[in-house]
Amino acid sequence: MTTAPLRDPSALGVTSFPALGTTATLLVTGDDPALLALARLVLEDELAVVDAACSRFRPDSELVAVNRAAGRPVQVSELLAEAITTALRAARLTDGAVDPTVGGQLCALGYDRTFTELAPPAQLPAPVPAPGWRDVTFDPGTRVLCTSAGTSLDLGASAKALAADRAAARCSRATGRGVLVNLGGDIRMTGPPPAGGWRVGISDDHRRPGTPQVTITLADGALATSGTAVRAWRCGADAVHHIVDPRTGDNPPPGWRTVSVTAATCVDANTAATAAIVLGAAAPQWLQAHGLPTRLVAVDGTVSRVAGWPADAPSAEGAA
Amino acid sequence: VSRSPVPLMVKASSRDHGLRRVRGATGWIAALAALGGLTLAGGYAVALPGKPSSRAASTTTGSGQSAFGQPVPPSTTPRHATSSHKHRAHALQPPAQAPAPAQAPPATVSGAS
Repeated sequence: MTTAPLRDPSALGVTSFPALGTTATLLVTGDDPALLALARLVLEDELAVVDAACSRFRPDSELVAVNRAAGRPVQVSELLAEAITTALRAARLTDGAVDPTVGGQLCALGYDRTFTELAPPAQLPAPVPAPGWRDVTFDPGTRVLCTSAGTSLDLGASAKALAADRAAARCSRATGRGVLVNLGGDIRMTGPPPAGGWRVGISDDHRRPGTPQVTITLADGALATSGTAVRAWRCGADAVHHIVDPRTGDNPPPGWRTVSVTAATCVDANTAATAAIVLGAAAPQWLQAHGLPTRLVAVDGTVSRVAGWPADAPSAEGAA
Repeated sequence: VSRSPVPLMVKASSRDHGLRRVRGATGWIAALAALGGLTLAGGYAVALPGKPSSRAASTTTGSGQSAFGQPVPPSTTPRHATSSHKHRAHALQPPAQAPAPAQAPPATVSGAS
C-alpha cells in the first residue's frame, strides 16, 4: 500500500485491547487515525485466527481437538501446521529446554484453564517429565501430526510470538507504515521506524510500567520478555509459575526473575527468553554463543547483560 | 616419365600425419571453447538479477540490501527463500542492530505476561 509521507516522523498512533489472555498494543507511525483503525482490524483478525487454532483453553480450538486425538494421526490446518513447526524448531534449537509437549505438566500444576479462571490443586502432584518433542511426528508437507497417547501440546508462548510476527507483517503491508505489535510483552517491529527508533520500556510485568525499568530504542526486529513474577500462583504452601522445565516436569530452580531478549523475530526472542529461564546459570553463556542481546534480572534483582545489551540508563516512568 | 611408388607412399604418409595433427588440434580447440562457454555461463548465472550468489544470499537481511547493494523497502527485500529459510531453521537469529539506551519515556513496555 502507498501512503502519504509522514508529516511528523516521530508521531505514533497507539491502541490497546485485551487479547489472547493478555494485552495487545499496536503502534503505527504517523498520526493517521484511519490507518491506525485499519491496522487494528488486521491485528484483531490475526489474533482471532491464531486463538481459534492454537488456544489450549478454548474447547472449540483446533489444538484442543488435536490433543484429544493424541495417539492417532491427524491432519491440521495450515496455520496450526505453522505453529507446530515453529514450536518444534524452538525445541530443537534449545535442545528441549522449550518443548511443546509440556501441556500435561502445566495442567498438573493447575494451569488447565485461562489464568483468570485458575483453580489450582491444594497439593502439588509429583512432577513427571514431559513426553518430549522427539516423540512428536509431524510432516509439514502433508500436515499430518501424530503424538503419543496422553501427550498434550501447549503452544502458548511460541504461538503468541508467532502471532506478533505475522500480525506486524500484515499490518505494515496493509498500512504502508512502520508498525509495532506488542502481545503481552512479546514485541515485533516491522517497516520504517519512527524518528529515533521504537522506544520500549523493560519491566518485570508488562501491565505495570511503573515498576523498576529501563528504556531502550530498537530500529526493527523483536523483543520478548519472559519472567516468573507474572502468571504465578500457589498450590497449598508451594509457589508455582507457568514456566516448566520439560526435563523434570517442574518449575526450574529459582534463578532468573525476568529475561528480555532481542532477536530478528519475536519467535526467536521468545524462544531464547523462555529457554534462559529454564537453563538458569547456563543461560548467559548460551545467549552469548547465539549473539542475542539480553538483559537478565536474577531473583535478588542483580542485572546481567550479554551480547551487546546496553547499560541501563535512567528513564522516565510510564508508557506514552 | 616414370615415377617411383616410394615417393608416393611417403607423400601419403605425410598427409595422413598432418590430418591427424589437424584433428587433434581441432579437438583441443573444441574442448577449450566448451570449457570457456561453461565458465561464462556460470558467471552470468551468478551475476544476473534474481539469481544472487550464495554469499549475497547469506548477507541479505531485513534491513533491505539487495544483492547489488541497492536499498529496497523492507517489505520487498528479495530473500533467497531456500537459503534464508534453511539459515533461519538452523539457528536463532540475532537482531540486525543491538538495542541502544534511551532516556525518553517508552512508547510501550515489554514485561512478563
